[in-house]
Amino acid sequence: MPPPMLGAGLHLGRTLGPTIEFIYLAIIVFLCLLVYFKTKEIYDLTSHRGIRYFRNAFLLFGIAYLFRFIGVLTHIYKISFGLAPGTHFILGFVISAYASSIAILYLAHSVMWKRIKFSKFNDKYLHHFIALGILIVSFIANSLLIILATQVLLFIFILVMGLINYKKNKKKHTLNLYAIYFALFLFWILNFFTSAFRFFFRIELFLYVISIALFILIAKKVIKIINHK
Amino acid sequence: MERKRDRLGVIYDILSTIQDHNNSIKPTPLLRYSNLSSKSFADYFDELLKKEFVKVILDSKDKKYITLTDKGFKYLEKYKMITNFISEFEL
Repeated sequence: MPPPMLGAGLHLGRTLGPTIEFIYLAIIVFLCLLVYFKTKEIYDLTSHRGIRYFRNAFLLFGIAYLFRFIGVLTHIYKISFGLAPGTHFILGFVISAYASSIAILYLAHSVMWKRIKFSKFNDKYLHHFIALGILIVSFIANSLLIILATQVLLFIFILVMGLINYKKNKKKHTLNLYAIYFALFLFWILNFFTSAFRFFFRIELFLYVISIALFILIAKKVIKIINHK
Repeated sequence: MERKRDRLGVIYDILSTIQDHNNSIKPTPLLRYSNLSSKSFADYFDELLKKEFVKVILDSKDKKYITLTDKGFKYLEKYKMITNFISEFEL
């Protein structure tokens, strides 16, 4: 019996082409790093845990997109480094899924850390353990859908936290923020599908544009507050 | 009733007190103004020293004074923006 292949069911044949993929990646990674570095000073000054989780989330989103791109690029140019065809695509995809799981965990943690206290050890490693656990289960079950399902669960969890926060403080900006997070994850999940499966392939460009717009919204909000005198 | 101060608010109050006293205050009055227990104050003060927000200087009679560093002034300057950021992103 052949060994289980995590990438079974992956759509390996078509992408939007290296130029569009590269532009999309460059913009998203730039915006993620912008958020990360713009918040460096306030984190250095405060060591605030919420700010740390928020920054880490965007750093890991950047890494997730970067590896997704590497996977796509090695596939387009048939770069193998002596490995079986499609391996880089799957590896890139797996690392991207791992990084994005941690990113979503960090984002969830950023809005709930005051309610749920972790020990120092858990605070440092728990996100990685959970993300790794998700990957291992996906590998054993031979299904990337498990990664997607857990990300959807995390995303629902963030939205529930958002609703609780909104019920508590009734602030308009709370609702706006979670609306952005909602859209961000919705498009992240749709993007996941377009990268991995044949569904929705024709709307991939549209998803790219919306995803960029959402990251711009968040980065703009960050810059507006940080640069406010 | 006054709202419970968070960690950043306590740090802001301590640094503001130092600034309001011409950037030079003895430890005992600073403890009094901070409205903290001795233990809590010691913890916060250690943190401020470690993060180089304040420094201790000795006058000619070897008396201790606490002053703000540039980083301490920067914290005061950015505090409002930081709390705004935390509030806007629900952190």
